[in-house]
Amino acid sequence: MNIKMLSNKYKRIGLILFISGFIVSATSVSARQSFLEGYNNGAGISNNIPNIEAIFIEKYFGEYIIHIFDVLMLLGLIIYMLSKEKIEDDYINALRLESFQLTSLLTLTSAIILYIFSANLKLSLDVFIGLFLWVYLITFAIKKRLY
Amino acid sequence: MKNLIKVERARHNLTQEALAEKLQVSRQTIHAIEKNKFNPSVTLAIKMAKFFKVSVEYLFDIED
Repeated sequence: MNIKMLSNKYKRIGLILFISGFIVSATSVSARQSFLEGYNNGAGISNNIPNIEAIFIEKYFGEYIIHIFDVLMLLGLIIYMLSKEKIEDDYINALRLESFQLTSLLTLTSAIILYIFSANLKLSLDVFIGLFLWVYLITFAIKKRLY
Repeated sequence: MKNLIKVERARHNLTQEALAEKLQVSRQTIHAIEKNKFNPSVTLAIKMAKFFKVSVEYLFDIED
């Protein structure tokens, strides 16, 4: 691939950004509420969720800070994705290209299937960005460890 | 394209990891070349031939 990539040390920076974003997002009121709703529905328990209080960073900076940490989480993944491996060579580049091709196809296919079955489906952009990033990272990791 | 990387590697008593380290490539690259899943670049082919002290034509050959 001919695009300029970040050096290997950025992998760690990306990972730190992702983990810090994930911790704050996962402890937000909306995330905990969604988790409880899903858990109660799955377990067949009535959905009487008690009032959930804001904790951690959300308690001091309000609800909007969660969005910033959501973005930080995606940014961390993008940095991780765009940074070089410890050893970069032609084969790793070929694997990266294959992973990109497969990821584009899978993301496009899933988007089209969703559109076919539900034309009015409304999903936020982060779902597709997250799907693309995760599918790419998993495909690349599997391809690298396959041999 | 067939190659004699595995034979030469065994002759030099090297593991895939050790050869990869000496050629400054990943272990996966050596494995993929040995299994004919990947054709190396001209640079890497020459590097390998030089390392094993053989010619590129001996190390790599086109299958009939």
